[in-house]
Amino acid sequence: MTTRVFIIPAEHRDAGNAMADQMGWGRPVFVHPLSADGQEPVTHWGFPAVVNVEFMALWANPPEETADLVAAVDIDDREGDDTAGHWWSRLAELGLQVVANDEDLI
Amino acid sequence: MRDIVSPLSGFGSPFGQRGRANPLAALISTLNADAAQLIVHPLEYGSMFQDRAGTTPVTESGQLVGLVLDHGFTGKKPVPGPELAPSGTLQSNFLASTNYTDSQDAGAFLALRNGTGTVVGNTLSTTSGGQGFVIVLPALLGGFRRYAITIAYSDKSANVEVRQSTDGNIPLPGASGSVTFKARYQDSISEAPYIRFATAGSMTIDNISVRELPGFHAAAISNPARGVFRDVGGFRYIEYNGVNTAYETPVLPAPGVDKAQVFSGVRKLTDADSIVAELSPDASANAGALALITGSTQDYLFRSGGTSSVAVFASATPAPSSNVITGIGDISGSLAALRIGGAQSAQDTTTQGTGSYNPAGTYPLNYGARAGTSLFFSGYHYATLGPIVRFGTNASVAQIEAAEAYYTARTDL
Repeated sequence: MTTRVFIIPAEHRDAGNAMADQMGWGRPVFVHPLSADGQEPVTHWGFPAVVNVEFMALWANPPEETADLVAAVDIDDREGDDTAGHWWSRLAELGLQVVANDEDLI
Repeated sequence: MRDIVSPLSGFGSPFGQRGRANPLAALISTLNADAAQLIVHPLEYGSMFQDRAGTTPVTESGQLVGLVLDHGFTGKKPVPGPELAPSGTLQSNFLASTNYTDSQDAGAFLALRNGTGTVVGNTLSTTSGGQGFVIVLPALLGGFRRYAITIAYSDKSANVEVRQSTDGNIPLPGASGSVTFKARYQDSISEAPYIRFATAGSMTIDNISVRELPGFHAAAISNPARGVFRDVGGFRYIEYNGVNTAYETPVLPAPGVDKAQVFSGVRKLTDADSIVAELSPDASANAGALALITGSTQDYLFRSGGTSSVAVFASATPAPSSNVITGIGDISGSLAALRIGGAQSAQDTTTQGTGSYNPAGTYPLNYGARAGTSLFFSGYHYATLGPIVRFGTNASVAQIEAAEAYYTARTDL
């Protein structure tokens, strides 16, 4: 298996989610807001995934209409299936933190 | 005399060999004794699929899980529900266009999939091979559903098959006969099954039967949201990565009751606030909801509420730790209780207001995250994709102990 971390600038998030949906990936995939200090404003969005060789080939040669969007996405690949480990180490490499939510559990 | 063993039994079946008691079936029978609404997504081969569309089964440890079938209805393989396409409905509602849309028609109909074809009376015909007629049930789209479709045909003069997406073809043999196949719908009629004419010719449809195989099957929110299935050391579990692993059922019907229980075997890898399971997109904000939560300040929380909500919390052990957890909710009885390891750990008798769970029948059940977008759970869920959720009467001691014993035997404590 190969894990891939996707990071997209905030202004491209909606387009990125729409492209993922068109690919049959389902509901919004860019679920984590990111910034350098973990505070607003959000500068990027991202997620990790397990990807297969077919997907990687498609990504390397995207349809012309999505080429600009694909080029805007930062990707990083690692062998294995530890999506979480890859995600957190990649964020550290990029100097990004998840912008904490203020969900009320209690 | 030799026993006749069904091909559905034995290794690979969630129901074991004929004549041998199956623990899951026994548990479901126990919990269903009073006709409770039960949601059960067992991590059993035959019930798990790698993709969200339910095409590729999970066959070994280490594979991603996109879909798990619900066995809560009967404790057995899903049995077909009522007829959804009364005789002649599909043929009479023929749409001679390939430009159909998901919202075009509220009823069942046949539509051209591509190219040309005609329907006259009950006879489908094409003038060239490669044409197809889609079986469309727009009113039933949304969320993963499975159907048993039976096509009875006669006077067939072409090579005809039924197929769905890239699943492969099931040929309709002979000039007349009947074929039953399993079909699925997810979010689009592009996923719908269809009758394909491999060669030009015609065929009379004597009947098309469409019956749902009921259940609230849980699918990953998206492809990247799929968790990894592990079958290690005698324990089966799903890994929730704490980043984006999340599942959701379709909207559940209103159970019409105000008593519920959740049963779970979990291992939490962090103490971060996270959702193990949650009825509705936000149990803190929605009436008639419940949730099983791990928290940074309290090890586990169970939230239950009618028109007002109560969270009961109890400390177990800091992460990493494995526990068998039971949450008990009773809205009119003003009870929210947590049991950990088979013993009551905490309870709260603050009023939960009035009403019942999922009162309008508008809530899905979420596993691993709040609405698939936040509060991601980092850990494992053993034996089932998420907790068994039961809406019914107050569970008896015997029912609670049976569920806890089931998870205790299957959780790496």
